[in-house]
Amino acid sequence: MPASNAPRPWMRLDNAAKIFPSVASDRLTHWFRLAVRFSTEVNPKTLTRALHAIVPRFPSFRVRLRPGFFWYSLVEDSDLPAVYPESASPCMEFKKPARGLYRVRWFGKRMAVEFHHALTDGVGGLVFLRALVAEYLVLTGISAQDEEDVRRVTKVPDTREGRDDFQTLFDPAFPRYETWDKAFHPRTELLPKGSYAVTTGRVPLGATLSMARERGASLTEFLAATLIAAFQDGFLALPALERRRRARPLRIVLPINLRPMFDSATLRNFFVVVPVEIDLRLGPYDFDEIVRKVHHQLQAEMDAKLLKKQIMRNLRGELHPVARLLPLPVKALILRGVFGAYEKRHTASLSNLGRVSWPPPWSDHISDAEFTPPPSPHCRVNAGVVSFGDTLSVTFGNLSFDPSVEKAFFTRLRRQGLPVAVESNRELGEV
Amino acid sequence: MPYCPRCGVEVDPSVRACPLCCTAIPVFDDLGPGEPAWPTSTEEKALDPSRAYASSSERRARAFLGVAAVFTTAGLAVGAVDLFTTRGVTWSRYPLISLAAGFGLVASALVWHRRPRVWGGTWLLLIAGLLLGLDWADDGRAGWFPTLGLPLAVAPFLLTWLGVVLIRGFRRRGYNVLGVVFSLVTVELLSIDGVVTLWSGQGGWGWSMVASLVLVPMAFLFFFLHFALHRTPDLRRTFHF
Repeated sequence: MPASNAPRPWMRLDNAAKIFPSVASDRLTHWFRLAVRFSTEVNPKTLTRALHAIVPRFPSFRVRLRPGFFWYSLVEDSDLPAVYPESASPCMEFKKPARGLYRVRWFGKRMAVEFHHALTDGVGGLVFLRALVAEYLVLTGISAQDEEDVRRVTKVPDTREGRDDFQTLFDPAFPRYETWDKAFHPRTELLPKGSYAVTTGRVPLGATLSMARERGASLTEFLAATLIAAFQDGFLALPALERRRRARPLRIVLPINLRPMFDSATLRNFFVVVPVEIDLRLGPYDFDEIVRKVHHQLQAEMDAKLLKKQIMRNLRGELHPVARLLPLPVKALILRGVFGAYEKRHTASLSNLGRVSWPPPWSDHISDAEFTPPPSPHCRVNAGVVSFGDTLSVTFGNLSFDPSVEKAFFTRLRRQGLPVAVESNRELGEV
Repeated sequence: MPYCPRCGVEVDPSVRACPLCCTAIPVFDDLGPGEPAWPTSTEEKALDPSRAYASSSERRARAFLGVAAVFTTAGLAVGAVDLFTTRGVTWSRYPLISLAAGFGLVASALVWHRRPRVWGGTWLLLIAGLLLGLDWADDGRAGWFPTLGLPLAVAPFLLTWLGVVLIRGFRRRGYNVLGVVFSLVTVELLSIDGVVTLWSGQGGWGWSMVASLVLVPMAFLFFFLHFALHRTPDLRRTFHF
C-alpha cells in the first residue's frame, strides 16, 4: 500500500467543538478571527514563510475535519497552509472549502487569522497569533532579547496543548444545569448569504477602565452593561404594542476562559458561557442599574463549581449512550434543533479576550489588535473585545442590515466622554 | 482623523459616510485620502448597501398583485369563452382548477419565501387539492384520488424532503449527493409503479424493478467512490463513539 494512502493520525473533537461542525451552515460558520495591524505594509511572501515556520510548533492545529459514522474527528493535515488576501466579508465559509481549520489573510498593514471553532477558542487562537506575529517580525529582521511566553518555533510543543480538558472534569454526581427561558431578539433583516458586517470601534483602554472602576465594575462588566443598554435602547424605540409583545429577558452571554480556573494548558476549546441579563418585562433600567446587575450576576456566576455544573451538562449530552450510538446525520439533525433552541435563549454574546501583548521591540511595530466573533443567524449581533497597548478594540459582527446596536453602543461610549474611532466593512458610504 | 458630526465617532479618512448613522463626513483636503480599512467591492464580494433600506415585503406585495392579475385575467378569459360557447361551465372547470392551484403555488412561495417548510407543506396540500379537484370535476365525486392521486402527490414530497435533509447534513459534498439522488429516484420509481399497479388491481412491481437494477448499483458506486476510494478508511476513527 502506498504510504500516502495509510490511515492518518487523528483525534476526537473536544466537548465544545463536537456540536459546531454538525450545526454549521452558510451563515452559522463558526469561524472567528483575530487580527493585528502593523506599522508597515504586510509582505505576503514573508508572512507565508513565517506561517510555514510555526506550523510544526502547533501540531494540534495541523488538522482538518473528517466525518465519521458517529462523530466528526480531526485528522492530521500534511499540506502546508496558504495565505489568502483579505475578504470584504470575513469569517465566511469558502465556496470551495479550504482544507485546514484556520486561514491567514492580509490586507495593507493588517494581518488576520481566522479559526474554526472546532479547532480552538479565542485564547488558543491568541497563542497562535502571537507566535505567528513574532515569527513574521523575526523574518523581517526584528528580534527580541526577551521573548517572554511567546511560543517560538525553537520551543518544543507541550503535549498538554492538544488535550481535551473537559473530559478530565467529568463527575456524574453533579446535578443538572437549569435551562434559561427564551430571550429578547431584535427583529432585523438578514444580510445575503456570504456577507458579514463587521464594525470595529477603538477607545482608550485606560480611560474606559477608569470609567468602569468608578462604577465598581470590571471592564468586561462595563462593556456587557453598555451592550445591554444598547439593546434596551432598540427595544424602547419599538411601538408600545410591539414592546409588550416582545418583552423578554435581555440576556448577554460571556464566554469564560477555564484554563486558569482548572490549571489547563490546552489550545483546544476550553470555555463555558455565563449569562448576564435584565428582564425587559420589568420596565426600563438606567445604565447604573444595569452595571450593578451585571456586576453582581457575573460575580455570582464566576464560581468554579457552578461553571463545572455547566460543563457536566455538555459532557452528559456527549456521553449519553443513545446520543453516542446515533449515526452522524441523525445526530446532526438533533443537534441542529438543540443548538437552535440554545441560541434562542440569549440575545447576544460578548467575548473579551483581555490584553494581548508582545515584548519590545516587536510591540513597537504593532498598532492594534482586533477580535471578530463568529457569525450567527439566530443571535445576529455579537461582540468581540481585545486590547493592545492603550487601545481597546470592540468589534461587532452583525449578520443583519441593521447597525443600530453598534450605533447605540458606540454613541453611548461617546456620550460618556470616550473618544471612539470606528471602521466598518459596511458600504454605507453611498449617501 | 475626520469625525461624524452626528454621533461624534472618529472615522477613517477613506470613508465618505459614518458607518453607524450614514451621515456624510465633512471632507478636509489636508487630511488626504487615507487608507481603506477593508478591500473594495471590486476585489471581493461586498455588502449591498442599497438593500439596507429597501423593503423586501413591498417588492413581494407588488409581485403578488402582478401574479394575481395574470391568473385572474386568464381565469376570466377561459370562463368567458366557455360561457359564450357552451352556455355553461363545462370544460373550463379543468383549466380553472389548474389556474387556482397554480396561483396558490406562486402565492404561497411569495408569502412564505423565508419559511420553506411552510410553503413546501402548502405546495403538497395544493397539489393534492389540484388532483382531488380534477377527479371531482370528472363526475362530482372522488374516484381515483384516494388510492392513486394522493400517494403519487405525497411520495415525491417526502422523498425530496428526505433528500434535502440528508444532503444538507453532508459536510463534504461530492459523489455522495449523486448516491442519495439515485437512491431516492429508485424509491420514487418503485412507489409510482407500486401505487399504479395496486390501483389497477394487479399489485406488485413491474418496470420499476428493471430501473432499480440499474439505479441501485449506480447509487452504491457513487457512495463507494465518495467514501471508500477517497482514502484507506481508518475504521477506528470512522466508528469512534
